[in-house]
Amino acid sequence: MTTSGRTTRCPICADEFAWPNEPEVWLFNPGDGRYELFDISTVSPVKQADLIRNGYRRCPNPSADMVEHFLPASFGHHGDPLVIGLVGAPSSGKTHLLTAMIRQAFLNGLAAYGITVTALDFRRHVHFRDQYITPLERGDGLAGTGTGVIEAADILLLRGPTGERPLIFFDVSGEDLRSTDARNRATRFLLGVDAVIFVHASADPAEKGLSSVDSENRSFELAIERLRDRVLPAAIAVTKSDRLRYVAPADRWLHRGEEQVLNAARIRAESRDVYAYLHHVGSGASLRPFEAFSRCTLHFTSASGGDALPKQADKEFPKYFPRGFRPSRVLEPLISILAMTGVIAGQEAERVGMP
Amino acid sequence: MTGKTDVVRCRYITGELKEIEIEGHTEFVTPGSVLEQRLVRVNGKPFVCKYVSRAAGARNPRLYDLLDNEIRAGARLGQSYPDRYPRELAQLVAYNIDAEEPFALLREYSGVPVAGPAARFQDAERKQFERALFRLLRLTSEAGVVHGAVTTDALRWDNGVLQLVDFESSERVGELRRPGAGAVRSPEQAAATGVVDARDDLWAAALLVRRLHLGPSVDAQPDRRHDPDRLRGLLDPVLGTTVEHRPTAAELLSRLHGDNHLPSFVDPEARFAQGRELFENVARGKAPARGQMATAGRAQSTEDSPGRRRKRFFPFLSAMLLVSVMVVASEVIA
Repeated sequence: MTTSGRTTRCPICADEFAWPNEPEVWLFNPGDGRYELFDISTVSPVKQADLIRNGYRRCPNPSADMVEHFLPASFGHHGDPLVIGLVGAPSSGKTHLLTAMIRQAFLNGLAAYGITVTALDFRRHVHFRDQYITPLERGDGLAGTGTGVIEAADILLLRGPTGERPLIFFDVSGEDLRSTDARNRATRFLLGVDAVIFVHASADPAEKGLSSVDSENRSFELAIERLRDRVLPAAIAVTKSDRLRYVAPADRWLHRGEEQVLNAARIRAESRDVYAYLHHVGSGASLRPFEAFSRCTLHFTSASGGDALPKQADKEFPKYFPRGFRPSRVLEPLISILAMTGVIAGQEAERVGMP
Repeated sequence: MTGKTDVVRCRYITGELKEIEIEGHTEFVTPGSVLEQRLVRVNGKPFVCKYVSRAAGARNPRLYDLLDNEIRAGARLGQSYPDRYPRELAQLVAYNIDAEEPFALLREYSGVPVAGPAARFQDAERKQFERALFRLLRLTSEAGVVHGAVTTDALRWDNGVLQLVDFESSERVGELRRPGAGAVRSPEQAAATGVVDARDDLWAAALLVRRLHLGPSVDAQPDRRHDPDRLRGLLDPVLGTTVEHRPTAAELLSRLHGDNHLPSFVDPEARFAQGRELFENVARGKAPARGQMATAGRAQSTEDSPGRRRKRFFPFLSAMLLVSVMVVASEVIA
């Protein structure tokens, strides 16, 4: 096998390997749902480039510990990939947050920072859009992530002043995240992450069966333990903050809407407010990432703008958002992560998340 | 919200989610409200319900913003005066901003719109009105709320007690001023520059007091040189200066010998002081890690960066050189 000489870490199996440079790519056949190997050595350079853009390379998975999986064929042609994992309890709003975040990023939400977003894995992104973004835009609520999902939720490409970097999101079921089985494949993504967004749902005391405090303890604790030897940037997102829309200190931040300028002091002020809020409501366990990770920011976010209600009074699902989908401040955790990982560069970015 | 009795989900001003029964829907109008309103009953008590129907919201989405302003101001005032809420201010009790027909539920207003009785005010009542007006602005400014449309349309009179209602144009002190088109906006509000100041409402209040004393025709006469001395002494510091030099509502109230005491006031932010302090303590504890983070997300932390390796190499090199010099020197001496 010829290689480009460049080592890449697969975001799915977390193995490192030399990125292959062979004149062949795998193309997905939607007809039978299988990948087929295609020799591109005989086609014109223009067609080669197009096939590489739309094709895949099979991960060699040197550890041989995962099922066959594929990466976009152009994955290794860009800068270091940035792998972001979302960690949180069941029903904490990880999927809603991720969906709103990706949607806002595609709506040019990072333009103020000189960053544009496109799909790197087109097929995966179309699937993500159809499964998550489109239903939310229709005002429908989303069901949670199924257990046992080991694939990246979406693989995007960031283009900005510091170059091009693949951006990979992992959204793993909260149930899997609470699993203490070290061999749980769904949580293997933690080995390969470059940054983590910890998701804590704002509690609603009147909501039946809500016990997010205990379960988030476990999800957060297990993730922190697995990442203990790594120095990673982290963000804590308090989702469903629309419930706190008129309550201090969240009201002040939600009212600001989307920010347009990177300001480390402002991010620190919000982090302090979120910390104080979680401490006040007895959710101190959700503050563990702030203590465990030396560079960590905290944010109030609302993925949907309001609570989803059942369409029929006697059934929990399907749900819908009576006033539509109105995300607020969903990009703030991502922007902080981008600043802390050097995607957004400069002196101000270097101060983000610093103690 | 249709029919005679509706069970609705709503939040109290603390954010707590509740289900309540709302009965009766009598249409209700106040001159200072753009929103649709009804008089309803909850637990047998009368309330004002402001709402945005789907049809009205589709025609004019700005109505949702007005309702949001009303709830935001009401929640802040309610959280600031949790024990003895001042009857001079409209009192928000509950809201639901996420429903198809979002609404705000307020305690029934007192009295009647002030425009009617004000036309018959004698001098003593006019002075009573002045004191009451600056007192209620003292109450709102203490809570960090600016009403944004202090006119006779938003004021009610009940046997000497003035009440401020319809906070649909309200803003919060310290936030960026919003563009708006009201006729009584101060120069700073009209320019929509800078941040909201607790004294922003005093401009409109001063115009209102002047109008009350001199009649509606005075609105067309901005020249105050011929105004009565007492009125000029009271209002010139408000109308003749920029907001930074304007007296506060409390200062104006003192000049009028009005009731300046506050009911039991609670700063809604105060309960977070301990958490903020803890944040600073934890942050201080993490401070030594500052130098570690320059390459976060780009390289595995378990490996030293080239910069760190260089930093360790130089002291080692210096020590080796020193030892070599000492060895050579000792051999030369020997």
